[in-house]
Amino acid sequence: MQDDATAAREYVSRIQEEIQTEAHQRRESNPALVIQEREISQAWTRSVPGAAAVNWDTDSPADLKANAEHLLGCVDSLSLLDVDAPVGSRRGVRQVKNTVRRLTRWYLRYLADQINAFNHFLVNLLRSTEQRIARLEGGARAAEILGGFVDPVPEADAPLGEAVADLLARCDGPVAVASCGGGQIVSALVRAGVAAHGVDESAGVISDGVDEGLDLRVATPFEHLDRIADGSLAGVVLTRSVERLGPVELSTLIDEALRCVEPSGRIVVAVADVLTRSGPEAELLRGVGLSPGTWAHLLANRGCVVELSEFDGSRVTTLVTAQRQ
Amino acid sequence: MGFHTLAVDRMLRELGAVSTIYTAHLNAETVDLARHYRHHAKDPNPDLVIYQASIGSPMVDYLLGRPEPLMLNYHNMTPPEFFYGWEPTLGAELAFGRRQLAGFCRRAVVAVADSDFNARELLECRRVEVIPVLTDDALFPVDGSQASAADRDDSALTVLFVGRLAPNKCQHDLLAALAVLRQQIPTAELVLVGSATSSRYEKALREFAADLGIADAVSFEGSVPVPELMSWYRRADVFVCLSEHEGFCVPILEAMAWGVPVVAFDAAAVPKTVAGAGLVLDDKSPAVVAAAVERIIGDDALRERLVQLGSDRAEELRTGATRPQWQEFLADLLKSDLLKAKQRLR
Repeated sequence: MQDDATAAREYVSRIQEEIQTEAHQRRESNPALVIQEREISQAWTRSVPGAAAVNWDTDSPADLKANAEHLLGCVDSLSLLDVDAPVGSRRGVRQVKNTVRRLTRWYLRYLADQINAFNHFLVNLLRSTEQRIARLEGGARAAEILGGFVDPVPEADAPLGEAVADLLARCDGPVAVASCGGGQIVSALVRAGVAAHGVDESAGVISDGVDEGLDLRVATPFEHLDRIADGSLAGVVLTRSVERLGPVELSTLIDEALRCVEPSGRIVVAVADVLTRSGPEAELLRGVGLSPGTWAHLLANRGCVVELSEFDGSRVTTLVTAQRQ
Repeated sequence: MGFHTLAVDRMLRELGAVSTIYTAHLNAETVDLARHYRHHAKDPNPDLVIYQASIGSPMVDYLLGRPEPLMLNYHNMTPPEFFYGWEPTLGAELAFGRRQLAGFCRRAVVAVADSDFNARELLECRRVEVIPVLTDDALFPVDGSQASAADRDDSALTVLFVGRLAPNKCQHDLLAALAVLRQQIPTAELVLVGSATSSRYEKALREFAADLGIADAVSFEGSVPVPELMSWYRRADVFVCLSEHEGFCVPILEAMAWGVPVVAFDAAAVPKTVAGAGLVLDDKSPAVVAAAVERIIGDDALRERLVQLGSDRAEELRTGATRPQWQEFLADLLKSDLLKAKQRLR
């Protein structure tokens, strides 16, 4: 009987995990769901006190600023006072203290309400600030959001893996592959005798490679590089998801990659040329990603010796290799 | 006045004690059950005062000035932060209540909390017992009266939550989940039973439902009589609790007793109350909650298991099982040396 109950609870626990995974997969396969969740969150924010007075979607920046200043004005006009000081229970002074407390409470109740209002408006002000920041961030992330409507960047194929491995075959230290997908590039590097590992933010994508014994981990390129000590990698490969990064993130990624590689270390960039994009991809991903030539320019400007090599691939046609000096 | 207070009063009388309930707020419902606490000083001195803490109260200061031994009965106090943005005065009263609680704990000879979660807030008490809350047997089904498929409306999916409309109960998260759920199950509806602790919060919920285009699918029932509440439990397909703060959450227990599968958010005492007999989610984003409800509705085997586990859990905690614990505790307390503390104080 006890075993039955334990088994049933284990079953429920497993279902809970499956539900979380199911929801995650739904979001990945249905960008509209992500947008709906965000819109729901914004709708609730509009309904809460304070924020209800502000229409974040239609008010002009000047209106928003004026509203924030109005809330600040409210905060300034209120004060903070606590009239509910603890009353001791020592017998001799108890009655006197209780009487004083009752009178004080009666007299200062109005001020106590102001304290509450103060807190109320302060919270609203913070909420407003948060909303304004969210709007700024939302604008900055427009390309990322729209990117959800184009096909994901395809996996590297075996020839691309071999080509990257040729460029890094002489590395005698660890090499990290950012956005490794199923591990084609990592696999080719390992076959070439390089101590390579890969990271990808999708656990589902790397699972087959992990089963094959490759060192693939779940992380974004930023998370992974952030955890790596200065100069501790012989090489970094940037591919796939870096095609979908905006200029600020790209700049950060380049700096992080350069920080992580040793003085003579190499960075290989294997991405499609943004200048060859067409159709919806060209419009929706405007301002996202770089052409190989621009990669070379940025890396050269950071003091690297850069080489461009032709590659006969269906998407990736040029590989960028930068060696740190 | 809650059922638990009345039940403890009745139990004390059954044990031969003379018990009187005092309150700071008499109203039409309580005037025949209790006396105003200002009469207490004129009544015969009791051997023990049991204080049911719920919010800041002048009674605490009064009791701290009394010589009788004090016992604290604690079912939790909502953290004031939940209310500052909605009902600042109520938030301040709750903060006041928590400050009073600390002082009361130092004086109390014993405290009883209805969950481990609540007991952890009474660290300053010299002795804390954990005994589940006494629940109203009238709200539990007698054998055979649990919900059956025939009670449920096949044309709609009924999601139920029972609890005051309050920010800590997070009914807005239920609305958000419903909006996503209706993408998959357009007949899904949400029934919210419980009066409003915050009228502002209730107004915001109604606006939110309208904003999401689901106002017609949400029913605000308010406080309902017991038979009507039972009828909702019989009609519900799933009970969903997304509260961020619950000291125990009796409605979860009631839903389980009525054969309604439970989905709950992992917060405060809720996981302990559910105890593996329902789906406990550590993420209550709308997509996750909707996926959980869909899973229960679409997976008969899961539903049956949850109903059985819930039924066992409810039986474990319902008054019938809890009552002996309370009787034993009170009987021991009435005979114990703790009550002699009065003479020492005098």
